[in-house]
Amino acid sequence: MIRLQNIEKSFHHTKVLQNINLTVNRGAVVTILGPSGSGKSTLLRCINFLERPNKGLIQVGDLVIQAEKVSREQMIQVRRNTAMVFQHYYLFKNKTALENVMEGLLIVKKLDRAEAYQKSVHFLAKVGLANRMDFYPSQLSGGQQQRVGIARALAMEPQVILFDEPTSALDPELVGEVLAVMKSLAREGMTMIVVTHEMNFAREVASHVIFMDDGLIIEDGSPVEVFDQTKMERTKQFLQRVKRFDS
Amino acid sequence: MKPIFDIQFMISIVPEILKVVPVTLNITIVSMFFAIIVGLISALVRIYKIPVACQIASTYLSFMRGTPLLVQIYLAYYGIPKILDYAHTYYGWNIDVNGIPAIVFIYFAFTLNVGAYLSETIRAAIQAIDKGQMEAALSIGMTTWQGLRRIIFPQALAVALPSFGNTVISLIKDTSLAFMISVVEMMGQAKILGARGLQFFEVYIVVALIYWIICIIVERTVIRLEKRVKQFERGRSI
Ligand SMILES: Nc1ncnc2c1ncn2[C@@H]1O[C@H](COP(=O)(O)OP(=O)(O)O)[C@@H](O)[C@H]1O
Ligand SMILES: [Mg+2]
Repeated sequence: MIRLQNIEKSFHHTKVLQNINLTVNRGAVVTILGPSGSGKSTLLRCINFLERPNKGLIQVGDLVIQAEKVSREQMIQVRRNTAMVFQHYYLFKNKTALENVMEGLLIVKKLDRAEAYQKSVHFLAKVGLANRMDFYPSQLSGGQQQRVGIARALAMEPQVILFDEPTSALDPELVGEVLAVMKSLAREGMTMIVVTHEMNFAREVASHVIFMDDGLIIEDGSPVEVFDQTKMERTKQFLQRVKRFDS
Repeated sequence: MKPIFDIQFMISIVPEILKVVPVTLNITIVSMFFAIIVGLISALVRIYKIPVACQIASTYLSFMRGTPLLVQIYLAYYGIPKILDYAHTYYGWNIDVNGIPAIVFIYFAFTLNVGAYLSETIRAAIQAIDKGQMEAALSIGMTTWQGLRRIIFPQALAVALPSFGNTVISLIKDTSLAFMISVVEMMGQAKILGARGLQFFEVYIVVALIYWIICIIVERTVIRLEKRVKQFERGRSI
């Protein structure tokens, strides 16, 4: 279970997140929607301490951390129990697909090579890239790179995977293959928090939808509640705009 | 007619010059080794803006780049013994200043000088690697140091290697200044040999050729290394 309580984050005295409260149960898929600059990425990055919240409480499984007093060890503990998939993939460019997935297993989990190899092959197969294991990122398409990114995250066997606009950088014809992988993870019960503009994905897959505006969660509920019984005017406007853009 | 230079004599001194080539290489290798450490530390300190250390590093770089190498060599040669003498007198450090071979001052001066130039190269190379890869490393639980060592440095090395090669070549040539504090490397040997028969021109031709050959070898080696460390950049070959 992931729990955020009263998270606040400022950059140079500008409040970017305020009063963020969120609970994500095991196996839940939460999608975060909202206009650009509303703080979606910052919220995700606060969960694994890529950004340090100024205030609040973060719980990942049994780890309960007061953000003001977080230690280096605690941050590493949280990161070992979470994984992230980035908009621009951020694969290790000096490593092959296989090595990208093995890296965390060898260095963080300290598995021996044989075991790390086996696991990595397994997860690469899962994202449909068993035949691209020995390719460097520069030799893979965007969709393939992102699937390696997902395999790298999966291999850590995290309690949650944080996705930050995983398909936004992809050519339209490559979006499907990544979403398909994400859907199958959701079906298998992986806990996921997904920042996305893919409304269909949110509608079909999410157990919970959150709408953010200006650093606040202004609306949240089931997909039906947020999409079909929208309460807030800001959310309605945003959904209208996205719909126009989609068609 | 007498030939413009005495080939016989030139051939005869080649072994004598080659005898001190190890001194030149030794200065180059030892100084380069420590310069990489100094350069790396001062680059990281500036990248991560570590207070105090960052200002010290900036001042150090500015000084090293704003003063002639020869002056730095003299400062090391005359300054370090003075400081050690002082420490000996007032703090009771037990150091025999006269027992320190001159080459140690050369190592010291070259390390700091080359370290300053490398620092800039290293900093630029590290910053050329996109920050996202470090975040990806952190996100799976690696430490900053693990991310640097396993992900960032190998890629930064590929960026910095051509510049590293140029630095090594400059360093090899600059080792000729070591003779100014009576370390007998190639240049020193040349002066001694030249003075013997007053055939300076011949001696310096031989020395120039040997420097040239060494530098060509280094250049070739760097190009070959570059291909190796850049193998991950090879384009699509599907
Ligand atoms: N490292 C940073 N330094 C300063 N401001 C930042 C930084 N990261 C994000 N911001 C600001 O915080 C706000 C929220 O950004 P972000 O979380 O990236 O929004 P979103 O992901 O919803 O587009 C924006 O106004 C952005 O400019
Ligand atoms: Mg964002």
